[in-house]
Amino acid sequence: MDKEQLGSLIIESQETMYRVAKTLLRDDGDCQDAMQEAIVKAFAKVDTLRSDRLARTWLIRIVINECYTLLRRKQKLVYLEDYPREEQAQERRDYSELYEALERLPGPARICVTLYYLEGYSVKEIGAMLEIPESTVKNRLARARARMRSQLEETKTVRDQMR
Amino acid sequence: MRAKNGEMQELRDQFPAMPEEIRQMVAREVERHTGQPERMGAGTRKRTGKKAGRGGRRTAILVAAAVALLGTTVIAGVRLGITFSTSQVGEYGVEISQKADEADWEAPVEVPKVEIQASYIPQGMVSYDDGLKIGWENSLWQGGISMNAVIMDEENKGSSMLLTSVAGSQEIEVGGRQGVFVELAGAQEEGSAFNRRIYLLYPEVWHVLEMYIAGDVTTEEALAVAEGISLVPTGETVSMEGAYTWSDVANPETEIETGVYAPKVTASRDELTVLKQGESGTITASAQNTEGEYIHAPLEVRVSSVQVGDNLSLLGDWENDPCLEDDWREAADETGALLPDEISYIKSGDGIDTLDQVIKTIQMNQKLVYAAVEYTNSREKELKNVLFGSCIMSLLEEGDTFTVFNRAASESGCDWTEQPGPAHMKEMDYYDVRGGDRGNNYISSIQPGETVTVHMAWIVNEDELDKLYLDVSGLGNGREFPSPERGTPWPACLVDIR
Repeated sequence: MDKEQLGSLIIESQETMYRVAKTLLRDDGDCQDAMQEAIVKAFAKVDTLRSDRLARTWLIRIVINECYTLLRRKQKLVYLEDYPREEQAQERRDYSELYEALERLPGPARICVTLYYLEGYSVKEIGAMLEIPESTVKNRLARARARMRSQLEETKTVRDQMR
Repeated sequence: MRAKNGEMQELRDQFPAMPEEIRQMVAREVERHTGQPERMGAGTRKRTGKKAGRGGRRTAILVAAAVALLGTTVIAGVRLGITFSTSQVGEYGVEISQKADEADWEAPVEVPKVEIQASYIPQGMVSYDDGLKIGWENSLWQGGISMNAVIMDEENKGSSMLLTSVAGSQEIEVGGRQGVFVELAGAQEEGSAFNRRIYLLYPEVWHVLEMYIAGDVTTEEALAVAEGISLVPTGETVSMEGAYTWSDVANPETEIETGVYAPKVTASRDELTVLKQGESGTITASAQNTEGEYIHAPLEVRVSSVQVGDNLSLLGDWENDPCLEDDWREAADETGALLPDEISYIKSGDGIDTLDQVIKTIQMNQKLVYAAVEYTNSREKELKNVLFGSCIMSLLEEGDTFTVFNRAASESGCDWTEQPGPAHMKEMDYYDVRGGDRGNNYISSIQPGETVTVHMAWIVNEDELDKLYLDVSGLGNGREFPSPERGTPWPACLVDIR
């Protein structure tokens, strides 16, 4: 793959890159930083890519790495509960209950859900991207779904009680 | 959560849209790197890579590489009274439990935030990803050792984790720390699968270290790395509430239902373009125009000839052919004659009482399929760096329906098959036209009206010869049909080469 083709791949994949970054970072400014770092790194490392058919997976892996690097650098490895309540309300006011349920998952589970359900990657591909065993991916997905279901049911109960 | 799968898929629609300024940033960055190559790698943005320490020493370790199955035992004497213990579940399951003396246990509201530091890194490997990964310098993205520091929480008292398909486990003491070493079934096989694990207790900082060890790292080296791992408090703290903890990791869960993104293995004729050998069709190709812009362009394709043989000499001077992969040479004898391959039919185990089991093996003759594929530029302008690709598909045709051949389904009780030779590769492994920066599957230039012929080859199982099609769309992988509904931009273009 040459630089022009990588450029095209990035343009084609930018929505996926954003959803992955948004899943891990939430803040759009951070997403932009991580994506920018990932693009720089991808161009710098394109010569190390062994097979063009792995390019998209490779690119998403770089985005994930940059997100985690940014989280650690900014010491922002916090979960939703740690966000100021006003910021939460501001960021999430337009989001659906389902998306809110996704947001409340721990980071490692969130990224598995995004890659599996939103981006259509297989358990095997996600394992390769996150450098974790497939069984761990399956476990995280199973837990994520259980938590989201619980969250959605809780929301429904609260809503019913308020009526 | 089967009923929620539909809702899960709706998440894509409900996900926040990408802000326009990020889209503009992406366009700018791509333009900067492709339009001004002299700035490539200039490092205009601060890089954050962490240089790994390499000054560690190789330390003799007490734990043998060969592991033994143990009954329930506990190594005592660890600070805070927290210990690991292992117990056998069925034949191949191992439960790892953390136990804590009630008197010693008082879970904090906050725990120290830690970073992983390695004092020993094997030769040829580097630490990166802020210490979470130790990988081989020449293949950072595959294999190596992955690590994670997991917080222990209140639920650690009595929590346990069930590991399946375990070949052996051993309670260990490494670097003065208590832990567990686990070897999964198949760990002796080479490869990048993460087939061994080490769990070590760091109770003084309320963490457990998880290490996943790939097949390209020896157990001795992994244990030596483990011996030198420190979890160093950063001075920050992490709230226990909502944190991802050991009990999250250990909490046994049932297998998720699969099938949400099941591969598309059946397609009707009207979903596809189906051509005969010698017939021309039009595909969409990724290429560049003369201005260097990246475009999708129509390209005529025709499979002009297909030859089947059982000797690599069909390719010509195969012994000196730079396009020939090593595994192809290994699949033949010194005269180029293809050797039979062994196909294993395997029944999956539950990982507790049964492992995956080979229920049948057969010897299968191998055949070489050698095709000439013509690409013609029917536009009025030159195309540059045209990406091409084909894969071979074994299809069962019934009426107007095509189904991907599933060998496992032909054997009762078989869940999947395995074969070591190159016949399992459906994608284009051999092709004789090279281009692009990396000298791979690109045609450097096609003038208007010009035809470029690419010779491609596959090694296939003899009993699949009557099922073979080429998918020349450039999108397929040979195991499923590419289709717009699954996110590929256009459907398969099949050529019947039976």
